[in-house]
Amino acid sequence: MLKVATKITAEEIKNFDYFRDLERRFIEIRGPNQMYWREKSELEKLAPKDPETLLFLLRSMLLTRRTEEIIKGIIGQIPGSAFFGTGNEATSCGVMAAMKYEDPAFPLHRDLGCDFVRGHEAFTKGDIKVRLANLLFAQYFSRANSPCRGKDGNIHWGIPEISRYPMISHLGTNIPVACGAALYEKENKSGLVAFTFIGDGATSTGDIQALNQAASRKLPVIVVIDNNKWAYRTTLQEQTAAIPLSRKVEAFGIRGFTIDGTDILSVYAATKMAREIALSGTPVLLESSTFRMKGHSVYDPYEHYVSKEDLEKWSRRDPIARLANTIYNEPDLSDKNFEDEFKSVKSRLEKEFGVEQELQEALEWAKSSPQPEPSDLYTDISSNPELQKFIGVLCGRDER
Amino acid sequence: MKKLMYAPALTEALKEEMERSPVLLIIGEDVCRPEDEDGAFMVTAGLPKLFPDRVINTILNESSIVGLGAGFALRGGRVVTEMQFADFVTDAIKMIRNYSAGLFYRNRIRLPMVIRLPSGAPGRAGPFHSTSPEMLFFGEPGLIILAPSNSYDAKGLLKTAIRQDSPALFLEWKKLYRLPLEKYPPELDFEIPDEDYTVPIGKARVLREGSDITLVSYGPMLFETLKAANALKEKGVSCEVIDLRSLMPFDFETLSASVKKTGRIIVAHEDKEVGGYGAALIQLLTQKFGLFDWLDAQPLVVGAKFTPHPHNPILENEYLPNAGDVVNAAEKMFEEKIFASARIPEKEPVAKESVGKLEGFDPSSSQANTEKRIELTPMRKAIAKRMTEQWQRPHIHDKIKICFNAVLKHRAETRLEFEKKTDTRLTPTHYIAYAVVKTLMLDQFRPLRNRFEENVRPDKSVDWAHPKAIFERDFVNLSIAVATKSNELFVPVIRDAEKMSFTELASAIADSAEKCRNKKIAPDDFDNGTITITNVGVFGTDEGNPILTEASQMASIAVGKIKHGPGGHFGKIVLAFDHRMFDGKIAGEFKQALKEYLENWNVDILSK
Repeated sequence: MLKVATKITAEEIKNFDYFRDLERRFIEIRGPNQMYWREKSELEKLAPKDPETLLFLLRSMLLTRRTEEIIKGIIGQIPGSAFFGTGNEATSCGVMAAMKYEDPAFPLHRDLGCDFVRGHEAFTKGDIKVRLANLLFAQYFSRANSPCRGKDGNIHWGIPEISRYPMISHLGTNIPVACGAALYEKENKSGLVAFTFIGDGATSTGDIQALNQAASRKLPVIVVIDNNKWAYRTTLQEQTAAIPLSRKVEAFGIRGFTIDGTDILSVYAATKMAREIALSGTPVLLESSTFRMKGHSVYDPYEHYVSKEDLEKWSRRDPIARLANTIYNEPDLSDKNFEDEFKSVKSRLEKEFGVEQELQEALEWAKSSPQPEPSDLYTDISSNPELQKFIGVLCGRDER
Repeated sequence: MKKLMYAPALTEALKEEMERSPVLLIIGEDVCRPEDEDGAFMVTAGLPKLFPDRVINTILNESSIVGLGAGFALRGGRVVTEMQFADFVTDAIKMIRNYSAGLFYRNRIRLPMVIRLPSGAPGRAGPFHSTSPEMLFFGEPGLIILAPSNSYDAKGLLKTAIRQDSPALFLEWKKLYRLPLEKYPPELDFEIPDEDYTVPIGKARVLREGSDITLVSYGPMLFETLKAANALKEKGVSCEVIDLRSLMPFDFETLSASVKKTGRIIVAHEDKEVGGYGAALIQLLTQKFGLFDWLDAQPLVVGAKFTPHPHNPILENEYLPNAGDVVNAAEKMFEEKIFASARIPEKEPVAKESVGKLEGFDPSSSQANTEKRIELTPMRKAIAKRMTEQWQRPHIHDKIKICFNAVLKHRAETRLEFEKKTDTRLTPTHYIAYAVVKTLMLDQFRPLRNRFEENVRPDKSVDWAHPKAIFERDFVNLSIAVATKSNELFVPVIRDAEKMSFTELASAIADSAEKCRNKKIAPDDFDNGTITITNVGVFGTDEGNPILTEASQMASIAVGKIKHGPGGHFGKIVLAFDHRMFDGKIAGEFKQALKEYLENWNVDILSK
């Protein structure tokens, strides 16, 4: 069942040491355009206040967390591995909720929350025919009706109809692609902003260089770094000395911000601000500080190399617990017995949101979904009919 | 109509497509500036002035250029990305192979993106500006690879590539960019129409028809190939020259038709001979398109040497293939046929070692011409009499080549079970025997089962010319020739073979052979046979002429050695038949029916 932080105090957050002044919700890293410097209080105005949005964000994070827990439970029944974003829900849900529904999105494997946020609106509008959770489980079961139709599994999905584009396993690859999408939006004067997510490890790839292009062409693009401090088994400190990562792109001439990625209201507000900046012609890099609470993949024995202290420390900053606390208690985090509070909150959530029921229905739907036929191997290899036909011939599929 | 050089033809295609599609974007390093001379090779010349927002200089990062193009295309745009030199595309391999090629397969996302690759060796450009990049992409399903060799195709193919919806690699040749029009051979000297036209993807062009050899090429190597075709024509070799134009997909129909006509193929390209396009093409033509059996000579690839691309002109000439290499390859192919026949000396020299080495005969031996008289054995006498008698019958021979792939495959699959069940070694002879019996029992082959009532003279010799009557028989008595270790020949008869199942027939054959070897065979075991099967293949004979062994038989079959060759396992069967009873038509039909029975073996030999 749902796992959330047990107790959190304002003192603990204050002493949190990713770097010194993280307790401020937004940190301005010296950017070239001072116009966009904002006071904390001013930025807080961008954070959502209405109960509907707050509950929607909470529900999306809950769905995300529970989905990953369910997937963990069916490892062995699904082909292949699974990748979790536990601890990252505030970043994925918060960013996606702050962006426009039509903005081209290029999420990463730990950003399942993006899908639940956009998937909800897509299902409501009728842009997708089944609930997002159904598609997701079908994808993990690699079934014929999943977004990849069995041709790829787990995290490599995309739903181009709702401008949610896939990632490939080569991390960082989506940076230039998102820049290309931004170029398209700029050429078309659509007012849309492309955005993508990368990990802290991918800031070492050559693809980060595409941000030079983004800056020189003034492309409306946002790159979010899910800085969860681990790139598989490599620490952030081993990866780079350019900490905070938002400084890494300073010289490119794009705006870098570091935000507290476990506080969805900060993430939401910062993304709103970033979108505004990106539209004005300065690409933005948002470094979202989180922690990877699980292994790289489900098979990674992270307990063997991630310290208990770190896991304990970050579990006290659980994004779901933080938002629930904000909604159902006083907005400032006191050292109340959060556990007791949360228990009642949780049952209220279950009751109000029906998360569990929605997910179990989705799981059953996916399990009973059709498998692809062996002959499906040969379909959709190319959108070019001549090449498709030719490859059929090469594979011995023609009727000659 | 007009004539254009290669690069200006490309520029014209780009300009027209930019006018045609408002979402078409051209990106690449230095595709803008200086005005009207834009682009490193001036292929985008004049375009930035016409379309200032849609022709864009990018950063010096090929991976980002292709990534940018992909992002633009998946949102609904169309893109032409330029690599300044094809060599630099290695920096973008991930974006092309891992990201773009399979995007439609994985996620059904269309990616209308053309990647222009200034390819090939312009001469003295060294190892980093001369590459032929086709094999960097050939093995990745989902990528189109085009390689036009002339202005007309360059313009038409680029337009087609831009208008379709999947990632396409467009190989354009630096050597051809500014090649003066007068240097084009007549086969490639096309006029460019004033109106809009396209060239289809996946269609080759036959530049010259011929009958002796198929020369396949593309890009600048085609110029050399045409020169080679001219040189070979003077030597009396008629070459069919094919411009592939599209490397993936390629036009296997045109290639197949040509190779089926000529029986010979050379693939010539500037790409390396080792690991190059030709190697892949020939593998597919032989393995996937069934052309192996149509080849009269080993297929050859003419390509660059398997060394790094050198800089010095002398070294580069050594490295790159040319017309002479194509001619040499062709001559090698014809060595044993056309060219060699003119060179064969009047007297073939005989190797000394091979003289007088016949087994059992040594001319240098002083004992060589001694003789010793011995008596004929009764068996030899009987064979002499019988053979002479039978030889006088008007029998003729007819042969057929049979593919034993199906039989051998079936035998391999069933052998263990069969031998366990019957304790008899399963051989192809069993299959042939069974097939012969079954075929003989077909109604139209009744004449093969008949026998004559012969006219026997008072001295008991047969007057073959005047048979008295015909006996129709509705059974098959199968004779199998058996050679014993003491060089005796028996032809025992297996009676009523038509009633036997496969296993029964095999056991009967084994039993009668065993009887012969143990001399436990009775005289009436040889009577009233219908047909004889002799397996001469066991002695290594490819093809033997059988003889009719008994007056009651109208046919006899000799089975030659089954050998592996192009297309599988083949053996020759020779049929001897008595021309008094029936004629070549029935004999031919019988052979054909037997062949079809064996080649399409579908009898479950273990069933009753």
